[in-house]
Amino acid sequence: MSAWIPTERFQDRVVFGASPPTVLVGEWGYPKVNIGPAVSVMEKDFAGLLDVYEKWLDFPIEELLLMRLSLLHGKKKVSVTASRMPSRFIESFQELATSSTPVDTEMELESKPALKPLFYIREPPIGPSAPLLKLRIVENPSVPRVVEKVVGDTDLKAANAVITMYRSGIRQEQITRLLSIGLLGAKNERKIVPTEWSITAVDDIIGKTLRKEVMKNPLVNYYEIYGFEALYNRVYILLLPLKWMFEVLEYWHSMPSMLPYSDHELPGFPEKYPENIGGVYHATRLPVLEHLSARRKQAAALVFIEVFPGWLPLGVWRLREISRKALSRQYAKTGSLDEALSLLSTRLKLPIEKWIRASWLLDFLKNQTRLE
Amino acid sequence: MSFRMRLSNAEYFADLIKAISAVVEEGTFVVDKDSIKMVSMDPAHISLVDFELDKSAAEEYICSEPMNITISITELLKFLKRGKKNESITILYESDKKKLTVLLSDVTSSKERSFTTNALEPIVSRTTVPNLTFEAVARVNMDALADAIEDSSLVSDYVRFTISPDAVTLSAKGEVGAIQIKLSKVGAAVYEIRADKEVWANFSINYVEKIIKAAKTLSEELTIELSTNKPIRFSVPIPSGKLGYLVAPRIETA
Repeated sequence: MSAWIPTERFQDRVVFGASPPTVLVGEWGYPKVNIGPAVSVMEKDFAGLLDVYEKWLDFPIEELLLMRLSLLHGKKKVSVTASRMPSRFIESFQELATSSTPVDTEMELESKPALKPLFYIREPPIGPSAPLLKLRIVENPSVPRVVEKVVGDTDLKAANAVITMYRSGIRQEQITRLLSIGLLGAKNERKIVPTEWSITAVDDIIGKTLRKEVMKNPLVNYYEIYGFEALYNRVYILLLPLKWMFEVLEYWHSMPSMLPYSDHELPGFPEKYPENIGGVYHATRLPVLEHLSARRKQAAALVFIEVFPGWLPLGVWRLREISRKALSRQYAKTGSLDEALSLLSTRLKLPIEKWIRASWLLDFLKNQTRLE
Repeated sequence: MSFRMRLSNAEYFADLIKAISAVVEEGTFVVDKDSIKMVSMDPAHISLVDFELDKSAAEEYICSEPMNITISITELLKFLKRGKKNESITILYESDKKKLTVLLSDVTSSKERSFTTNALEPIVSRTTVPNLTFEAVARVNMDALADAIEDSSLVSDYVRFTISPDAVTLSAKGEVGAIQIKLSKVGAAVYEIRADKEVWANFSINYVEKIIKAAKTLSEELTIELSTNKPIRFSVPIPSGKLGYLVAPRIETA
């Protein structure tokens, strides 16, 4: 794929390419943030790939990294409330965000784009960037009708707009982009939202809606075990024939700790932000709820994540997609929790005892008695 | 067939329903000519609420015949929270229409607010209160207990209740450390202890804390009944009624 990326074009101050894949909003300096489109220097057909996470699992990690770095990012510093009375600049970013397919775009940058080779644990790396002088959208964006409708509805709450689009089959990446660019919600509540936050917000909003339905469904009959591995990430999901409870356990083999990190939820108690797992929590809860909702079933769920050396921090999407893939495949079923755990012990690299010790849910099930 | 009950203090009724909401999000009131009752468990069957309000608590109480009213406690509570101390509250239920109406009105009836909601499908299985005997009883100050539970939550998800002939002790142990709160029989926070020996059991702080927080506004005192490794019972004294809770213990298995 490296052959597809004409790196010599990183030298130009005027860049022509396809966007979106992404309109990026940074979180540095909030409530004044960097915002701007990312333009791909790759061919338009490939550029479309850059925003379809479900296809990313098919590429080797080196190519994903190249794809990511091939995005030129034009930046502009704005206040997050600028989405309410948008300047021409912001209007054009918003126009880009409404498109479901890449749109040819021309960016004029203040200087030659600079590549900062920075990696973070949770945030994806960003390609070369430079302050943006001018933006020209060269063709008409293709805007799905439902997107047009919710963007135009200034009485509709952001959460309802997210759900409406999700139910109409708009891809999650686009919903996230629209939330991020401040195009959703009641008129005077619209705000530009850093990309990282809106990714988790959309996972969370859809997840909570599905959870409400799932909690009314009958229970699954057995212990069910699903698994899939890609890009140095292994995910196993255990569904238990119990009312909804959820826990994520995450272990990084590349950065060994005593025990896996964990966060959980128990219905009827206040929602807490999953401090240990962060956005991965919402990104894996959503596929589990999608799966149960589609089957009209209810279960308690435990997600085991192993991250192996070789993984580069490219974002939480891979765990959402790996989980979705796992849940769409053949599964193993057992009649007891002990059998399920013993099966899992043969699939996970970290010894099962460590997972058990780290798990709040397994401890709760084992030791909490019930009223008869 | 209908049911009608008027209470002089809307805020107090809201507090009672809030106390029920610590255990259930929806539940069934069993109503007859003498009282309204609810016995209900949370979905995981770890806690139970046992509530009864006698007709003598009401200024007006009419029940033509026994009936069950199943409603969303969460939705009802949202409206009740809008009620004020100086407002009276009237609950109306028409069983043929399956509609529950809550009427809030000020003293002079110059301002009236009403809220109507549909009753839910009745819950099929009826919960009964398990028959339990307790080896120790303690009557303690509500705030002192609430504080002790909050302290315990700093180090663990679980708290141990111990009642001995001379003290009520809460203790918790976690990875970061251990906490112990001893309320001595001679101190101001303990009103009474009846125990021949020391008894104890461990409980999920989640469940206990939720109950105590919700019931706190109703009374300054609380009765705790306990046996070793058996469910705990909390009783909150309320005028013309009964408010009790059970929580199942955590029993560590090897």
